[in-house]
Amino acid sequence: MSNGANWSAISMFVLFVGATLVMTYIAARRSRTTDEFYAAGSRFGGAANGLAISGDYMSASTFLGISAMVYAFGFDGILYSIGGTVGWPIILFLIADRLRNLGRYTFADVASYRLDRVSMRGISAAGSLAVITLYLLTQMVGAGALVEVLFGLPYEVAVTLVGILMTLYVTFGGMLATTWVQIVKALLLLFGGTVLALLVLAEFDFSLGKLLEAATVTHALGGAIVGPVGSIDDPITALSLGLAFLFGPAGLPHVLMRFFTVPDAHEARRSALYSTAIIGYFQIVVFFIGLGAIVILAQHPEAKTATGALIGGGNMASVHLAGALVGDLFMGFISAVAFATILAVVAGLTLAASSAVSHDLYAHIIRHGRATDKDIMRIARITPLFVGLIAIGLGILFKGQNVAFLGLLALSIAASVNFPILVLAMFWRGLTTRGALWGGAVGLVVAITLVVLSPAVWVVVLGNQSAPYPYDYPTLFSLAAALLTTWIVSITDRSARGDTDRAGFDKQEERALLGKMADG
Amino acid sequence: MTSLAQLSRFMRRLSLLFSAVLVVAYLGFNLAVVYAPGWLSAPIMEGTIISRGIVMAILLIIGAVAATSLFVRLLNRRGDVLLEAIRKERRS
Repeated sequence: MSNGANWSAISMFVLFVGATLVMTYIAARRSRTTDEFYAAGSRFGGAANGLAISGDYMSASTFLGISAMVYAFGFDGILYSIGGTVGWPIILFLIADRLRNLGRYTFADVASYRLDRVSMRGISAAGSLAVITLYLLTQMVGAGALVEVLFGLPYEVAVTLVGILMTLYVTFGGMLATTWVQIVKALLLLFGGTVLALLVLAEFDFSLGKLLEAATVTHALGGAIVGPVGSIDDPITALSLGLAFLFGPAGLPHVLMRFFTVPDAHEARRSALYSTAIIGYFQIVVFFIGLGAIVILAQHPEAKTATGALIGGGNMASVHLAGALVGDLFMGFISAVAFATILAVVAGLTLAASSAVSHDLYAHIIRHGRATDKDIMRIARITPLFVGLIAIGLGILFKGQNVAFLGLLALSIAASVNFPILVLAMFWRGLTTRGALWGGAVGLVVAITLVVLSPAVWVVVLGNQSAPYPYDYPTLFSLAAALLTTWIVSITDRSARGDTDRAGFDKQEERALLGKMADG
Repeated sequence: MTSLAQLSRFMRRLSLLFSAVLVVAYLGFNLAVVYAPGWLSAPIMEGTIISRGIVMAILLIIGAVAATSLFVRLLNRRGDVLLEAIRKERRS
């Protein structure tokens, strides 16, 4: 199937694209003001937004990547399932309420509430755009490779198609169309995943014991797959990876901006509750899919190459499983869902980039809050065009490169730059502008430096013998460095600005707790 | 103490408590993977292949969702009472 086009997958995907373009057309008429464009008028309920958040986060790497990890290593794959879940309760526990009450469109609204407006918007926008660019790049390269295998389309065509579609969604449909795309994609993914997992379990009388038994008999690692097999085998990686998973999601700009699509803190809480439940559920589903693939694909030599590897690579485990359990049509459906997944994620990223550029950089820094709604909308609609062009360009430039480390870097920057700024601004009276700027800059520099010095870049990309920083994740050190720097610089800050920053805390806390009630 | 100060203290404690429990449980599990892989690989009871690690992993995911639900419930209940009190204070 890697040769030639896969028509059942393509026709289902065309159906999805057609439906989303109709949604974009309808949404376009309701996306004329900044309030509509950035936050869909804040009219979504918690359940719909929770679904959209999970749609934003459950990327192809969750679905294809984690099931592939389970297929390859058994238990070790589920470590990533837990990791993918634990960040969502943290968002609820620490930031959901305050984020909604203090912000309007971006998390920079919150970071600059009592701190210096220009500096905080600057560093928040920089942190956002860094995370978005890295994620977008990994998604584009992943999309190109995936579509090549799934649909038999050339890489460049796939990347260009993704770039054009995401630009259309965001430029014309804004947050409303993006949200609808996320919701449809989340429902399709949940449906496809659930059917696949149920079909797997039905083969084993719905008994986890029998499924595991069969998996250990089939798998090359045998009985070892029910426990750790060494993908995480030192404490530094265990903690660094853990911290990135815990605090990374709370620093992802495209996830944070979704909390402004609901009317109040109450619905923000419900959004976080629904998204946590959906994501947790899906992670367990993916575990069953991965285990099922171990057993069932062993009986399907047509899914493998002569050497016994899966056709199209390890990531294709769940797609082949769909083919083996049902047939070509369902395989096409799962392929189309996988592509829809990528499309929804990149649309969310593009919208977040547009907000950071038009709301934070243009409206507040360049025009000092004096731009008209019409001016801002023009920038907001033009930005996705540039984002699309840059994404297509980077996607083609990085064709065939191993970019997995960029995804790690994005989550690490989110966890060690955006997250500490946001949470300290919300909770710590002593935080000053100077402290936040230094802390953010140190977190960013340490995260990037350590990733460059890590095996994934220093050895694999740059071809050196051994890496000066022997771990894959920088978060333990970059987050610690960011927090320590922020603390030291803030408590020694004797500037007049620092006094204003600290004095503004009580008013901010009132607004954070009461929301609109604080105004009246 | 004003109702606003009470609400602020209540939310901070709740946030801190729930976050700390989750962070400790999750990082603890990750460290167990490094230091006690044999223990995690052992079956949950005799006569089954289902390991402690797999059960704990699924429980962690379910526990995270349950904690989220409990947090929302506690916050809605106590928070709404305090918000109402604040609303009354502000009116008078």
